[in-house]
Amino acid sequence: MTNELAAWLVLGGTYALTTGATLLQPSLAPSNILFGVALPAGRESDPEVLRLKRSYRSGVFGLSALIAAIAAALAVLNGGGSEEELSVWTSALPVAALLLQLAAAGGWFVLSHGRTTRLKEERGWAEEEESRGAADLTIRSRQRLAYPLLWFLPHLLVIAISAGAAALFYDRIVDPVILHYNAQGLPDRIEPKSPGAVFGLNLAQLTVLAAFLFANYTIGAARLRLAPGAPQEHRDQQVRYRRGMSMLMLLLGLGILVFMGATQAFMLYGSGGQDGVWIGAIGLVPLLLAGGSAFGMMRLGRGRRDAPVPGEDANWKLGAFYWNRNDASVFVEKRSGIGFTLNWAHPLAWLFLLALIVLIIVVPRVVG
Amino acid sequence: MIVTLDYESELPLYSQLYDEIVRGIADGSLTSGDSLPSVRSLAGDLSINLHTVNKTYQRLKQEGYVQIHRQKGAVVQPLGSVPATPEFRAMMSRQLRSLAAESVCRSMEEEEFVEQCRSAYRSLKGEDPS
Repeated sequence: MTNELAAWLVLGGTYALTTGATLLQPSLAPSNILFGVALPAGRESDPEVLRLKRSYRSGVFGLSALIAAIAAALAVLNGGGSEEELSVWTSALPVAALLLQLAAAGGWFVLSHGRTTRLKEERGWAEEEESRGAADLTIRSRQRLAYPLLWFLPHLLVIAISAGAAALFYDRIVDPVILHYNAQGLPDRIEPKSPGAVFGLNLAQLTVLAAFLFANYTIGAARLRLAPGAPQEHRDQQVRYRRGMSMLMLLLGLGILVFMGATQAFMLYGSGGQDGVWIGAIGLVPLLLAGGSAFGMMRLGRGRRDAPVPGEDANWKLGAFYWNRNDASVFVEKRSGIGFTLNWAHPLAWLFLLALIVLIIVVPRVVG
Repeated sequence: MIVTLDYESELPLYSQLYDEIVRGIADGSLTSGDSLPSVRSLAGDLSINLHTVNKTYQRLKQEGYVQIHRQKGAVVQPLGSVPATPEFRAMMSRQLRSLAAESVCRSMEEEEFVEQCRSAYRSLKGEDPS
């Protein structure tokens, strides 16, 4: 397998994965939520609702295919350039195509959200909404909604082994150190050996672990409303769903940390450019992890329902962003996909975002 | 233990929540030592105001059904730890008089009225209502 082929495989696979995820959006959301709008019981199979779903899927598929075709044509037309030009096309073009696809899908989602809102108004479906609310007083004290911190010890062990090996073999690590490979699998960032250069990826591992710990925490802490019509059934479904998501976070986090450890090993103990093919192949690993996680999430989220309260549609801006000053919850279940999101009207939500920005952007710069 | 509130009821939400929690203590769904959710958590789960939950917890504390601990929050007290005070008997008498008055106005027989009361009491105790 050539470097370029491996790169296109990884990037093409990423494009296919995100296209698939955006196409499946109407199915990933709770069954009684359509493009961020709550549907009353029994309206999920309305012909107009099904038509909106079909319109979204065909529109997003068409746009995604068009973008992919244009990107492929541009890649072929510019395939005879110099190595540097080729690297730019190999790196920038797929990323641009991906961003464009996400923007197109996002735009079509917003359009569909507007159409669904108008449909609900025209049909007077707001009058049919459930006027009751239900909750379980003892669920958090008697059951675990997410796996506890101890389950993340293996993750810490992986980081310790990676950092420990780098410390143990520090003197044998070649100077300078390869810090980044381009999309073709060739080193494109090399720096003099230093503790920052050698242990930088371990710091990144700690950041990733922190992100997964946070994600796991939100699963347990998120608002848990129950459907008043069938509260026990809904509660049991929620427990299965949240525990499943928590296990997924554990496994995905572990996979990513192991991958990062292996990458560090290639960078520090590998033989440089000749490892380009292996790096390209290894680039498929996060793709496989992402694909597997997406599949797992789809299976977990299948058939689940939300328990909206009357008038809540107005709090979901563009159907995707939750803003409600009157809601004490910081974390709520997503309406436009699988998982949980923040209540952006809550001050803590912005603190969490700031902490994330500091972790992802500021800390690596300070260490570097 | 699942509680259900009706957002469109004439009965205030804090009153509904209070009744639900007391019912849970009476029928054993909530037992001595059980911690109720934090004010913020329950307010979010039920989509009601923080102050509504806080008011309910304060009333439960005043009546002796829960104790508020700094770390554990509201903790359910043992069944029977709250005596039937003269104030409670007076309140019970007032509420029963209202129910009895409506029953008389609607020509309900005394036996049926008493049977309804007995059935409600026994169902909470887990006994056969008949």
